[in-house]
Parts: sequence; C-alpha cells; structure tokens
Amino acid sequence: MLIVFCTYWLFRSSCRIQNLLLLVASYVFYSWWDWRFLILLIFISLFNYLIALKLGASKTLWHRKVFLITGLIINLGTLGLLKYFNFFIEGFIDFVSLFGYQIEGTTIDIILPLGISFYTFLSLSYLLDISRGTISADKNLINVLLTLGFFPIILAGPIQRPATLLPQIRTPRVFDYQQVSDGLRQILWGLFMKIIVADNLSPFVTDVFGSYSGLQGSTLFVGALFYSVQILTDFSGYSHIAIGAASILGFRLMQNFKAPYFVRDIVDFWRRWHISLTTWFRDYLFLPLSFSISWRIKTGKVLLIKTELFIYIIVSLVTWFLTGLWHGANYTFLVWGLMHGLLLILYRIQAKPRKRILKKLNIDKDNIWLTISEGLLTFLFIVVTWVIFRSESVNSSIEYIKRMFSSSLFANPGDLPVKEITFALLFLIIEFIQRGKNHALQFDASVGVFIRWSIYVSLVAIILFFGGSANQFIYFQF
Amino acid sequence: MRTFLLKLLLFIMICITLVTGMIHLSDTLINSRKDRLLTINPDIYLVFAGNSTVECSVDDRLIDHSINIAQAGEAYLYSYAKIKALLEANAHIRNVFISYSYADLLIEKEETWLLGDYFMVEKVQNYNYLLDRQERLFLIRSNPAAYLSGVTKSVITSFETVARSFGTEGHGNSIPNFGGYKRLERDKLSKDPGLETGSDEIVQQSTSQIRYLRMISELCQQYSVKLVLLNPPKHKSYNANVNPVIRQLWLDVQNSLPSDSLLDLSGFLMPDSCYGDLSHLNYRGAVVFSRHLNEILFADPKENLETSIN
Repeated sequence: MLIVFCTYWLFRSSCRIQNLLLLVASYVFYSWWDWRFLILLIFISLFNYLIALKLGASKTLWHRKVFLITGLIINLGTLGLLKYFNFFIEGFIDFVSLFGYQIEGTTIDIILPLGISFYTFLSLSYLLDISRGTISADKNLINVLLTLGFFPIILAGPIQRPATLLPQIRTPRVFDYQQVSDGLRQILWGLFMKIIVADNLSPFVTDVFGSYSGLQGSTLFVGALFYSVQILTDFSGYSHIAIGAASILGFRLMQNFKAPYFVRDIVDFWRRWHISLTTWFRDYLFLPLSFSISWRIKTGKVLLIKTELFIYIIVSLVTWFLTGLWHGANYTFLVWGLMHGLLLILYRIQAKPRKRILKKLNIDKDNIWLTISEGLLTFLFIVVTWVIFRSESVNSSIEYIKRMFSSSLFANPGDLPVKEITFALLFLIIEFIQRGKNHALQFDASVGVFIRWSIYVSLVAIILFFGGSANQFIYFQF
Repeated sequence: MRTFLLKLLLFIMICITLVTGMIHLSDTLINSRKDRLLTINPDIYLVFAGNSTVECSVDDRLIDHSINIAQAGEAYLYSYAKIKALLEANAHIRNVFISYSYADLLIEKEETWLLGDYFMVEKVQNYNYLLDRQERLFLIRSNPAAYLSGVTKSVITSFETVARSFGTEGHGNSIPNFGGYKRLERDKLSKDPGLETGSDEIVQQSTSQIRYLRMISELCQQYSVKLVLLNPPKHKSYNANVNPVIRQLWLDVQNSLPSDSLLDLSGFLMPDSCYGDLSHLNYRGAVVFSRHLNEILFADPKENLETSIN
C-alpha cells in the first residue's frame, strides 16, 4: 500500500499513469486471493465496457433495450450461475419432492469468486445509468476497468456508483493534505473496529452459535448481542478502511454506515446500515418498480387496500426478498430480508394511527422515554434477525431464538469475556459520541495536537497488543 | 506532500519506539519472575508435554506426582523450550512424557503448528520469553509477520502473567499459560474422516519436528531425566488406517532415539463414547486412560518407573 501510495503521488502530473498504476494495483490485490477470480473480473469488465459503448451509441429505444437486457442477463446470469445455481437446483428438488416426485439434479462444485455481488452491482449501475442518460459510456478502457475493479471497493464495497466514481477517475487528483490525513485516520479507526472489536468477539460468537443447544438463554442473548456488534464492526470497519484507502489516493467514496444501532426505528436503521446497498436497491429496483406498477393500476384500492399502500407492500417484499438473496444462497438470508421488509411495512401502516394515539395521550413524539423504548425495541428486533442471518439454517435459528427467550434468559450467563466486553462497550461509547461524524477519529479543531496524536498512538498500540486472531471479513463471502 | 511524509515518518517512529519499549519492558519483567513462575511443587516429578493428544487424554489430577503442560497444536520446538525452562527450574523432575503420535512427524504438522499464522501467533504470544535466540531467528525467518504479531501480543500476556504471579506463592501445581489438561466435551467420532494418516499420497517428513524431538531427547539426557515417547489411545479405525509409510517413519525415528522409551498405548481399547474424535479422547476417555496410566506407572511402589513402562 505504501509503495502504491508513494508511486501514485509521484506521478501526480499524469492522470493516465496514475489510473494505470491503480488498475495494476487493483488487479494484483484482487488476484492475491486466487488469480483465477481475476479472469472472471476482467471478462465481466471488458464485456461491460463493450456493451456500454453499444448502449451509449444506440440510436433507437429498441436497440437500447436489446443492449441493456443483454448486459443485465450476462451480469446477473454470471452471478446467478456462480452464486445461486446450486441453491435453486436443490430448492427445486425439495419443492418437487413435496408432491411425491423424486428427481435428481446436477450441482456445480465451484468456489464463489470474492466480491462478485459487489462488482456485479457496480456493473449493473454502470449500464443502467448509461441507459437512463445519467452518465455517458466511457471510451477509455482503463477508466472503465478501474471503475469496476477499484481495489478499495472490489471485495466488500461500498458499492460506489460509477456516476460518482467515473468523473473522479477521469479528472486529475490533487494531493490534499487534509483529505489524505483524514483517510489515514479513517483507516486506523477501521482497523480498530475490525481487529480489536470484531476479531476479539469472533471466538465467543463462534462458540455460542456452534453449541447453542446446550447453553442458557442468557448466554445465547449475549452471543446474539456480541454478533450484532461483531457484524457491525467487521463490515463497517472494512468500509472505513476502504473509504480511507480511497481518500489517501484522492478519491471520495460514499459513507456506508452512520452509527446504525443508535436509531429510533427500522427506517432510520436502513438509512444508516450498508447505505450503498440500500440506496442501490432503492434507486434501481424499489422506485422504478413502484412507478412501473403505479402506472398500471388505475383504481384507488386493490384488495381493499389503498393502491399506494398495496404497491408499497408488494414492492417492499420484492426488494427485501432480493436484498436477502443478495447476501447469499441460503434461506436464512431470505428470511432475514423478508423480516426486515415486513417490519418496514408494519412501520408504515402504523405511522398514522400512532400519531393519533400519541396526540390523544398527549405525548410528544420526541419524548425521551418514547424514543428510548422505541430504539430498544428496534434494536431487539435487529438482534433477533441477526441470529437468523448468522445461523446455518432457518431451523437452527428458530431453535436458537426459542432457547434464547426461554426462562433461562434470566439465568446467570456464566463467565463472560471481560476484555471483549470492554472493547465492545468502548467502541459503542465512542461511536455514540462521534455519531455525527464520518468516522470516530474526526476531531474538532479545539482538540490539541498532543491529545490527537496520543489517541492515534494509543490506538496503534491497542491494535498491536490486543488484536484478535485474524479472521476474514464477514462480507467477503457475499 | 513532503510535510505529510515527514509527519507520517515521525508517527511511525513514535509507534515503533513505544511498541519496542513495551516489548522490552514486558520481556524484562517476565524474565525477572521466571523462577517463581516456573517452579512447581516438589512432589511433582512427572511431566506430560506435547500436543492435543496428550492435552486431552492425560488428566494430571488422576495421575500422582504429575503435571500436564501439553497444548493443542504444539510443535516440538515449543515443547523443547517449555521442557528446558521447567528442567532448569525444577531439579526434582524425573520423567518427561512427550506426545508421539503417528502424524506428529509429518510436514503438514510443521506447516500448521510451527509455521502457520494461527499457531505461531498463539505460541509466540505465550512462550516468547522461553525461546532462545536460535528459535526466535528460525521463527522470524519462517514467518516474520506472524512472529512479530505474536511478539506484540506477548506484551499483554506477559504483563498479565507477571501480575498474577504476585498473588501466588510459587511451587504450584500448574504454570500460567503453559497448557494443561483440557476436558474435551465433544463426541464427533462419526464425523471425523481420520485422513491425516490414512492418505496414500507421498509422505513428507518434517525435519524441524524431528530435529526438535531429538533436541528434547538430548536435553533430557543432559539433565538425567528419562524421556518417554507417549502415543495416547487412538480409535481402532484410526489405527487400522495408518499409512504404513508413516508408521515406518514413526518407528524409525523412535529407534534412532535408543535411550528413550516408547509407551505406545494407541491400541488401548475403549468404547466409542470415550473418543472426541478418532485421535483424541474426550473427558470420559481421559478418566479411564488417566487411571489406567496411573496404575501402570505406580503398579508396584517399589518397582522402578522405567521398568513399569518397559
């Protein structure tokens, strides 16, 4: 990274050389895991480059549709084949067996290429934005390859839209001291989250989820809480590292997390959790699908439900089903996604009655106790759904949750890891205090150099002395 | 850009100075308490060392005058360092039992237990202060990143160990972070493929494992301590599938250490419920085996231990 950084800024007079260097670095970085994955990435990127040129040059709507659909089929087909083929085949066999038929299907034995869901969505954004006229197809091959393979975001996002990344790639970057030093601080905070919090919590979580059937409800609850913190720090930590790494190279990427557990309701949670994915689904699926359906329905009510609400329910369920599916080929992800979709629908349905009830009871909507109770309920829901997300199967997640909410929920959970709890609490406190900032190490000018540097040095020392066993980032599997 | 690089350099220097200082301080502190930490009860004169096969099968509470210092994934290099430190601090030790299973001499074990990231970090974190210059150089050359990670993590471990040593009298029945009997709850016999010694692929021996086993043997001779190579019980289906080439290697290495005894109890029959997997006993097996071992070792109080083993 240091070599790339120094060489990169050494060539700051030539944007082309900088981009070429970044592309080589990105491909070296990506092929570090398995060089075979790189072949697919290059193939997909080249295909999207060519189809985008065709799409951009299309004179008629029909031509544009043909190229766009071809592009979508190839991108989603590749993702579907590599990630979901076995899942759907096995699902189909199970479904048919419900009717008494026994069929044999062929499954494929293949390693899922790292970050395939992320770069497929980047590619889809590129084609969809060109078809909408938001951006024009870039004729420079290096620019497109770099947009779809930029190393900070290739493995686990943020899913930075080409509409905002491509212009940055096209224009020369200027070395900005503030931006670069802020990038380093963000990397440091991301490393703290990953190595100190997530990696230290990981063994306890693995133990609890691995042997939940013999544990007390209270221990399972602690395990679920730990996993909630682990997945946040693991994924958000990676995002901070990615955004920081891009920053030190002069790029500005979108924020992916904004203290998501300090929220009042589920809508707010999804405004702050994995922002790049939720906005992706909003812009490319939820809104277009809503508009498309609303144009077709002319009546005021459908199945006794107001049309507007009916459309919201249908489109939400589709969107959240696909959000769950995006995470992986397992029913647990589907259930997790649908549960969030259902809660969002419920939230919308209860909004007006709630307002009326609060008015009747003369309770201000910003009442502190109301805010806290709603926040805790939302958090509890999130924790329970993380159990489903983390479990190996839906059945085991149901068993886990049943056991967690049994009478042993109030039993002594036994020995808990003090160091891990300390780090998790420290993280949550800092995250709460700094929740208005892009990352926790963004200090006001009033904080002196000595204090700031002491914090940075202490963080480095904590990472080195207390770091957990290195684990792969959870979201790499997606 | 220049200002940025200078500040970055200064920051890195400060961090390196601080970390190096802390490593040095923790090393000095733990070495100053080494004697107290490593001195065990004078009644204890049997030491069980090695990897998980001994860790899970020898319950030292059921074997008189014994201490179990074995730890999962322990390469002979670390066993050597631990045994050496123990012998230096405890002149009353008479016998050392070291785990000697068929797979221990294979290159796979060297690659995971000795050179792999996970085990190197874990072991260096616990035993860095026991390692000689020669071992440290070997490890740093083999896997510098993991070694340095282990060394930095050893700082907190050392501070904790030193802090705890102030509350103890010394001469205890256990040593902090030195391994010991592990109660294995699992019962995964049916899931264990037991491939590690059943493969027909080319067998590659680990030179490091064999070298350090020899060094343990020489060390014991030097201290006039009897070394016993202990092969704990294995499931019958494991024993039946041991690759003949591996078995021969195992026998050849044992024969090259003529002054040391072999206590091969791999064929000790026990019901399936006593196995955690094909090569490890669970807590039920450990009770049966430890009692049996105690009987073997102390069958006749007048009888010499060596005779009992042979």
